[in-house]
Formats: sequence, C-alpha cells, structure tokens
Amino acid sequence: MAGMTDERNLTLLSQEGDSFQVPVSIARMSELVKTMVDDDDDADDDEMQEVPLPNVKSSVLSKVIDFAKHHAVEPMSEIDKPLKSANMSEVVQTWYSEFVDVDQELLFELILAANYMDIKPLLDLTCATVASMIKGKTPEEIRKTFNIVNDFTPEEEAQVREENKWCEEA
Amino acid sequence: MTSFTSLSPLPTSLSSQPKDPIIELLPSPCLHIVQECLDPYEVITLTCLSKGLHTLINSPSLYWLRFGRTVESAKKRVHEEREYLHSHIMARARAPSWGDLLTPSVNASKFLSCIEFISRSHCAPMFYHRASRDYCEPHGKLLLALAATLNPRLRPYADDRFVEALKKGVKQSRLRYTSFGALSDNARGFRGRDIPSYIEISIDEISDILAPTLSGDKKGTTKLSCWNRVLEINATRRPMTCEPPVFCIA
Repeated sequence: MAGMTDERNLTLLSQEGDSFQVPVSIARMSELVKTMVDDDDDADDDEMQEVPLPNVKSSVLSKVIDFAKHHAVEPMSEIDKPLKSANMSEVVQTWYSEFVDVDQELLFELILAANYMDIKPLLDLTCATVASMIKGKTPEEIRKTFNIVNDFTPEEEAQVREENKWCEEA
Repeated sequence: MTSFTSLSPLPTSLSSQPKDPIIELLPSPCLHIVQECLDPYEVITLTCLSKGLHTLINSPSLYWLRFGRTVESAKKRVHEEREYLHSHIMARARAPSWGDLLTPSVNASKFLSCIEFISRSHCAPMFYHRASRDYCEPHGKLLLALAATLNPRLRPYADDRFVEALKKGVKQSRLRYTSFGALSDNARGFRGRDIPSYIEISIDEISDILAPTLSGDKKGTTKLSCWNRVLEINATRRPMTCEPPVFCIA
C-alpha cells in the first residue's frame, strides 16, 4: 500500500494560485501537507488532491519542493548545535550549503515557509544559516549585516551592559 | 478607518518591508533555533544590538535552559565555576587574572591547568569566547581544541582544523596528559566514560602540523612558536609534584 501511495501526485497551490505537482511521498515531508493529506484519505482516488498554501509564494514554494526532492535522495545531515563553523559548507553537505546561499529576503521567506509548512530539516537549515551570519562577528558587523539600528539610549545601553556583566567578569 | 474586510493577512513576506532586519522578524520558534546554533556569548551580544532583540531574546528562552532553568540558576552555576577557577586554577598558577592564563608567556603547568578546567566547565564557551576575543586567538583555539579532545561535549566549540591536527599528533607523543585531579562537585558533573583518561600530544608535531593552519597569520605563528618554546623548556623539568594535573614527558 505504501508503494502505491508513493506513486500518487498531489497539487500544491501557491499564494499566486500557481500549481505544483509533487509526488505525495515528497510532499509529505511537510507536516502540514501530511496532515491535510491524511485528513483527506477518503477523497476520490482518481481526483488529484489540491493543497492550498496561501502563505507561500510560487518562487519560494519552488525552492521548498527542490529541497524536499533532494532530501529524499540525499538526506541532510543533522546540524550540530551550537554550530561548529560559520561556514555552512562545513556544517551541511555541499548541496544544502549552496541551497541557502541566497539573499536575505529569500532566506527569510524560506524560514517562514519552512515554519508554516512544518518542515523541520528546512527550518533547521535556514535558521542555522542566519546563525552562521552572526557567528564570529562583532556587534557592529552584525548590525551592518542585518541592517539593525541601535535604538538604545546611552543610559539604556549602559543598563544592558550591567545586566550582562555577571557573565563577563572573571 | 480600516474595515475588517480590507485587512490583509498577517505579513508573511518581506517584500513590503525589505529593509527590516530579518532577525527581528523571525517567529519565536525560529529565533530559538537560531539561538541554539550560537554560542551563549553570541546570544548575549544579540541582546545588546537593539531594543527589539533585547526584548525578544531576554524573554525566557532556550538559551538560559542550557545553563540552568532560570537566569538565577545560570548565574549561580557560572559563579561556582568562576570560584573554582579562582581558587583551584588561578591561585595555583599564581595568575592574577583569567587573561594571564591565556597569554603567550603562560607556562606549561598553567596551560594544562587551564585545559583541565575548561574541559569540565559548563561555561567553557564563555571563557573560550573571551579567549578568542580578548587574547591571542591561536592560543584560545589550541586550548579549546585540546579541551575538546578531553571532553567531546566541547567539540562544537573547537576549530576543526586544530582538532584534526591534534589527532594526527597523538600517536607519536612526547607529552602525556594524565589524571584529572580533584574536581569541584560542579565540575565533576562532566566526568563521564566518554572522557578519555589521558591524551597524548606531541608538542613538536603540534607546531609542525598547526603551521599550515596558521599560514598567512604570521603573528599567530610567531606566538605559537613562542608557546612551544615555553612548553619545551618545561618539558625538560620533572613532572609537577603538586596537585594534579600531572604531565609526564616520555
């Protein structure tokens, strides 16, 4: 039975209404899709199931599907936390490090999609990528990387420093 | 006035706000994963970057669970370790400050004491962070690579290249590090069967093997050479007769 299920396709509908036909076995990597498919088991077998994903843009969904397809062939290795390197190619296999070598906007969209669709390996990978962009940087470098504005007043900044003093003292 | 029917869904995309820092917009579960991927010190750094991050990260988070169930228990644990550092390590090494244990002029006994402490310390990453930030980076890296050889839990904090280089040097050893000595109750928690009873390291080989790792870092190589010289001088002396750690030269 499992083999038969794996051969079926379903349709993922993006925010824009674009259709993506995906093998059920691949789509089930998403816990959200899995739940929806499982709940709809009584549906007519001849009719291809459609799963609307109104929070995911077509361009992002396409990347998510790429990830799921590749994961089925070469599962991503477990990410050691804390990261042992700021270089993602030293954290995961090459394909995955290249997969997340994208601009911040797309990376953020992928995180949201992974969170919404509940795909743990993709969520781990994308969040680890954000962490790798922080690792080893000075506060000013981190601010610059993420366009973070220092909105502390000098008094507030001093207070924050005081809060953290306990772990700085030696 | 905006009617309810015209309200758009919650923002799920950055397209309308491309300049906002993504780190501040991450949903809570995602931010927790980011924090898990960072060293504690890096998480603390994040809290100092903006009010938004300070609020997001200072709220109860997985970060504190790594050191204790609450901020207070985390502080207590760090305090205990710091006391141990001062009373057992720095006092014995006659080092007035933690930084003195990590300077290039440190001698072999201080160095080994340092490893012993760090390999069992709950807050080793914090100390390591300071080592790499405030002091000579190659020394900090070497120190933690050695500590990671003793305690696999510290492996994520050690530089791969240094650890691999050390592994290569283990077989043809001249320096054998044995005995963990008296540990505080707090530190004893780290004693486990996965911690080897000794490591063997060739100091000469460390120098040779690490040289390519540090190539291009003339300053670092020079400092490391300085260390090796100090260790070689100590190697001609008899093993320490005081409390462990004991190091034996074959």
